[in-house]
Amino acid sequence: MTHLWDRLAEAKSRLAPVQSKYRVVFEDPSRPDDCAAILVPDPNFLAAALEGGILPPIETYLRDQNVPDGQPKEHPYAEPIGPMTEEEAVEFLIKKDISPRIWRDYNGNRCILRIVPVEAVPTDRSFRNAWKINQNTPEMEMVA
Amino acid sequence: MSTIAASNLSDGSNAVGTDQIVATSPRAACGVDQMSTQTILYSFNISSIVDDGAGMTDFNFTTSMASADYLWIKSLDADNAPSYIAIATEYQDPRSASRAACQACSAHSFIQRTDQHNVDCIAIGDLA
Repeated sequence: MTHLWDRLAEAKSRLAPVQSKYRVVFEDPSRPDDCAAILVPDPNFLAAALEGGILPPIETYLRDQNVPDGQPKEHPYAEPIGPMTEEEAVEFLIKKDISPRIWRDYNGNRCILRIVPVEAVPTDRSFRNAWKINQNTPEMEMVA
Repeated sequence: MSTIAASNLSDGSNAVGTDQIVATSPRAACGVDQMSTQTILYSFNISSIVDDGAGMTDFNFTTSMASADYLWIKSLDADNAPSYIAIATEYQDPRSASRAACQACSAHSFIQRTDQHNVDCIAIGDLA
């Protein structure tokens, strides 16, 4: 099996980047004073996810989180999975790039993670370090 | 994809081993515009970035590095704030094999951060 890095290099040479129409807004419950963070999917990653046959299963990334540094990891040589929809790719990124204590283990009442359209993220970054997820409205919006 | 197999590259007088070139080539690269909504300008081996606040960006790798011991080079084009510099930080979790961070800080105060137009980072080291 070709290394994932080589598959990504080959994919980048032939696939056009795809800008995601989603952002993932999240807060870390263990750091209540921190502002909301915003995950931005990478256009080349999204192109590879939509194409299929390049990225490994998400389970390999999750298992590799428990592998100590310097030990062989599973995801670089895992069998690639098929094409994903954009929504599936965003879910893949949530599991891969956001801590499980946020997307899996949190049991509180506060909404700490939302997938929002990119238009819902304010373009005016005034008071950026005070942004929190709006708890009072069901709409996907944020308040400073 | 074609392959060129060679053990050395030479200009006629000096030679360098291709193993050194492979070992020191960038494994991940990304450029980010932090203004407005943070935007990825170019990238390779990046799965996502995380906007962590003013001047702060996390970079997640698609293929992990072998360990957290790799070279992480940061730079920024501080066209609107010449005294600003890019530094690596551990403002969230410590740097890991799968993630690294960069923040645009004032050269006079590392807690004073401002969004910048061009923040560029590359990772050099062994892959997992």
